[in-house]
Amino acid sequence: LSSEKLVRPGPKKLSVESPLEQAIGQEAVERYEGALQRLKAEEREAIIARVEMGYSFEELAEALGKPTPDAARKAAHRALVRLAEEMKRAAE
Amino acid sequence: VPQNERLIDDLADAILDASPVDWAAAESSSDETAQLVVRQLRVLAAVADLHRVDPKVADAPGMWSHLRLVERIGRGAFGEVYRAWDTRLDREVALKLLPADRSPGIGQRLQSSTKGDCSPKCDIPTSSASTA
Repeated sequence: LSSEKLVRPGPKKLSVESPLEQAIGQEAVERYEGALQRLKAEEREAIIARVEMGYSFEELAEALGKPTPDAARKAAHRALVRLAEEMKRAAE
Repeated sequence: VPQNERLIDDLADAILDASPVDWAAAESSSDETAQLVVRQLRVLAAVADLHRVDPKVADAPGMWSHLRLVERIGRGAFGEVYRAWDTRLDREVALKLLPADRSPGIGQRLQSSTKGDCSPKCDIPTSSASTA
């Protein structure tokens, strides 16, 4: 037997990229997820519910225990700015 | 500085409202420090857009503790099964999520993000992760 015949092909490389990673890149997704984890729980919930799940501000108010949709909107706004600042720190 | 803060506030509002943004103009109208935040807001706008318009992205609910969910490979009365990547073991696993009282997907993502680590205290009827 030649040595060539004894060489087995390596394992097939598995694609483990999520659809989001395929769209914006693994680095950006990791920065996003990492920064999300560093937010306060309420901020994180506001981002996930509004940005990822598309909750209305009425639904968001209910989920966050805010008295009005406008209060929920302000909370989501603050969370979004905080998240961007956290992601900036991670990118530096 | 107030101009930068106003720009960032306007961009955050646009993301929350799914309004179109001229990102090149936004970056060029801010100073160097604010530009870095604007770039991250641009990433967040893309995350929001993709969740709105791409069902593949919307159906892949991100991280579950140390498992990165890649795609849903099955769903039924038994719950949902996802292909996932275990970031601790550095290998692919299958993650089965049993039905919860709350709507699947949304509640799971919110709770797993809040709790971070899934333990016996975790009040989500969860997850059995096994090798794929």
